Amino acid sequence: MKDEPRSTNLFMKLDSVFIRKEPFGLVFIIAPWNYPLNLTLVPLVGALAAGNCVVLKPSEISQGTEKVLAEVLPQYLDQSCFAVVLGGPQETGQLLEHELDYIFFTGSPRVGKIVMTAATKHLTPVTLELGGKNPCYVDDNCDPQTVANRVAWFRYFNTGQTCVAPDYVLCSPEMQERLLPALQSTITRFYGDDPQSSPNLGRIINQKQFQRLRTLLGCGRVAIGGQSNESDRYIAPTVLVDVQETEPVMQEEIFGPILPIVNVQSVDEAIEFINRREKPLDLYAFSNSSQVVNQMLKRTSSGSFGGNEGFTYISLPSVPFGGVGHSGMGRYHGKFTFDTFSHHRTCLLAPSGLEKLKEIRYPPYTDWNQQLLRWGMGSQSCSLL
Amino acid sequence: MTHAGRERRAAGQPGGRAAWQSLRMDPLEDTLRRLREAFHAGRTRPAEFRAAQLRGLGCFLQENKQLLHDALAQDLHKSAFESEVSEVAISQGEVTLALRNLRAWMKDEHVPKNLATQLDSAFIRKEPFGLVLIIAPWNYPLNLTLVPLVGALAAGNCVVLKPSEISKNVEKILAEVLPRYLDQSCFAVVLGGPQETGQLLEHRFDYIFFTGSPRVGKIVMTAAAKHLTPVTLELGGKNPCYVDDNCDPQTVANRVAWFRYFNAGQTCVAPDYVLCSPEMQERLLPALQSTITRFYGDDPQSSPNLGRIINQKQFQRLRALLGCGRVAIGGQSDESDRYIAPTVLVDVQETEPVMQEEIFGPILPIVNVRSLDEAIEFINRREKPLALYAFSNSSQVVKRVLTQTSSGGFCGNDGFMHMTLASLPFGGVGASGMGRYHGKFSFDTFSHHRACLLRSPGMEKLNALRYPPQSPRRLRMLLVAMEARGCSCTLL
Repeated sequence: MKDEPRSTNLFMKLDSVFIRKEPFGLVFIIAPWNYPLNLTLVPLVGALAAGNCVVLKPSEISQGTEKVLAEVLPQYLDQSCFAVVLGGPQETGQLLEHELDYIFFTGSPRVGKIVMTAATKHLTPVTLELGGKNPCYVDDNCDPQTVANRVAWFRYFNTGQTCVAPDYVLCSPEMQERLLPALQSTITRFYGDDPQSSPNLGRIINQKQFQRLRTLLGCGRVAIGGQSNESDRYIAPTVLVDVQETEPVMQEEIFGPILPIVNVQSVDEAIEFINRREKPLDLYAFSNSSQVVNQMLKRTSSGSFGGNEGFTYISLPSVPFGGVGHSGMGRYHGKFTFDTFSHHRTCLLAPSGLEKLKEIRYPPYTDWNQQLLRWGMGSQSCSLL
Repeated sequence: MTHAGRERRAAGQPGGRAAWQSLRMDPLEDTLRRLREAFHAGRTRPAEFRAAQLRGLGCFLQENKQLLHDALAQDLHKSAFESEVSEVAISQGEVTLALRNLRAWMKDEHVPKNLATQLDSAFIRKEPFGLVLIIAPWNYPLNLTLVPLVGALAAGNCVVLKPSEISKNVEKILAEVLPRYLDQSCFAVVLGGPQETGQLLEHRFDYIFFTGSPRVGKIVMTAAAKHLTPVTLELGGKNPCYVDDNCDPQTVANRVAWFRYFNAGQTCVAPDYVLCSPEMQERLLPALQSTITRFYGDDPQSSPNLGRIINQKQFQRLRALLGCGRVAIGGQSDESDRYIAPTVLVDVQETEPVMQEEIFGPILPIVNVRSLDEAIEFINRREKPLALYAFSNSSQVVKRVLTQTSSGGFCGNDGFMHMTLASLPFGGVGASGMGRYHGKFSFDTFSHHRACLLRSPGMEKLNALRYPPQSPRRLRMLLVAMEARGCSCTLL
């Protein structure tokens, strides 16, 4: 919250110059259903810390958590400054017609566009945490079992319903041959022979998502898993191969426990494949060669990047979390959240007297005025900000 | 190809009119495609390339200084002093700052880690967005074009520049001379008015930087939303200037007048109107008259230090505002010269046009309030302005205004000097804008801050803790690893 003093030039040495963090005012947070507590509370922390009043719209899809957020959470906050609004797309649309001072949205790019367009009416700034298909490049030069462990853990965590999960794998056919048995081994290790009975595997949020995912199981060829159970909204940890780029599983964000493998012949082809598509929220590259990892990092763009690792960086509040392009705009976590919900107001407090010092800038002008002013303006102290 | 040339060519082709229309769009499509290809080829990434572009900008300013001064004089009757101080020097300063700090700004920022990531490399990498569109206004046509351009180039983007067609003479230089100093595979100037800008906005950009009115800001943001393009909007508003009873009228008059009449009032951060008591008004008026005479002489129209209104449309708009309230000082105008005298209006009603729209001219209305509270309440009833000013001998009063209002920037006992400091972010809030720039803030505005975590491909045993099947004991250990920071400071 503290005012941040800033460096001045020669003419303003007697002025007090600083950046003051101020709340925007009324903030609207729209939260999704996949991490309904985390993705509601973490933005809320920043909005409250920055001094805003908050309207929260938790997802109506994660009904259990929605109930707790609507009925229990307000008891812990000052309700003159905080409210929970319930409802679906229609109610959210109505809320967006009102004048708000900041909108923080987590969800799909399609709805992100609706939110940003609505925000335009009142010139409301927004943070949009969206999604995409997060590529996961697996180099020939790696240990298949290690890679399988890491990729599988991040893919099947929360039954794949994670915006930053690896969405599909890019590797050579040779690597695929080595990866498949390793993935099967990992899945068995994590979830047992009967994953449906494992307490460590989640379920799909609702019937609509379940049906969508079940259809995706028809793409390519099932190499691992593929089972599903409608009454349980269960989808087995699945790996698909022989997948075409035009099939639905490679067109939409999967958001489920299905991992397609797409074959490429080289790093270059993988990079070219990735760069043809929308910028993802995350990008992963697995290789024993740090050169290959760095190539992937340098020649692509994404919200964030993991080398030989998944989305562990999310646990670090010191790194900003956000997308780029279709995967979003703005960022948060830690201090970044506070800054997101603050207006950084530039302040200069000059002494009311000492008018003689200001005389140099007044007309009528001479060459001397000009030179002196120029020199004074150019003389900023430490230029490293 | 000229318009006539295109028509001749199209006439000989089947589907004449449709073919001609598609030819009109082709140059733009080609330009954008060319820039995107250059970006994807990585041309703008190396620091050497960016530095060369920045040096090119510096040379452009140095080698064409007289040309630019002349153009600014033709467009806005800017004096050499104003052109130097508010256009050339500021732009040059930003170029110099960017060149000096480029590598430092580009550097990966390593971040504090927790126990779980101790062995990893965790950093933030600054990356260009790609193809950036900068739409610039006419009031400071050099400054407000080049300063964002410095940031966009330093950050490694390819840039499409749309200078204002209203400041015609500077536009010409930006279109014909500036590109010679930059790598034209990564930079283009597009000309035109609202219609052409609208067409431009239908295309997809990776960032849009707009300076102009809130009305057009909404149009830009709506267009940007179609492609989920992030934007910075530097807009405007009516900047209040509170003058306390406890102050020296002459000092206040000097400071307020200088910032109001600079560039003939065509400044987005100028004090737009004064709020003061009737008693203060009585003391301020003679002081303002005295200041105006001192600055511009008895016949301001013949002073070389007073600018002119940019065009007839703005002139007519301002002349109509002279009819609001009562003219206390000035009020003269000359259509053939687009001249409006430095004017002060009193007895102004809040409902009159001069208190409804951003003035953007050398007219200063004074609105009476009875107290500081009333002034603050007046200010807070209205849209958040780009700048807010408070004059008082009492620092308590100044701080109260600061604390109880909101605005893009704030100055106590002075005008918009804060804009000249590259260490301060410049931007609006609410209807006055979103985003900020100047100095490193420009570089950051035009960069995507990509979080990166690089782990060793080996040492897999260390990861075993997180894999299922889980147990309460392992969960406890994992939570500890996620929480504990090495020995780093929590202050970012």
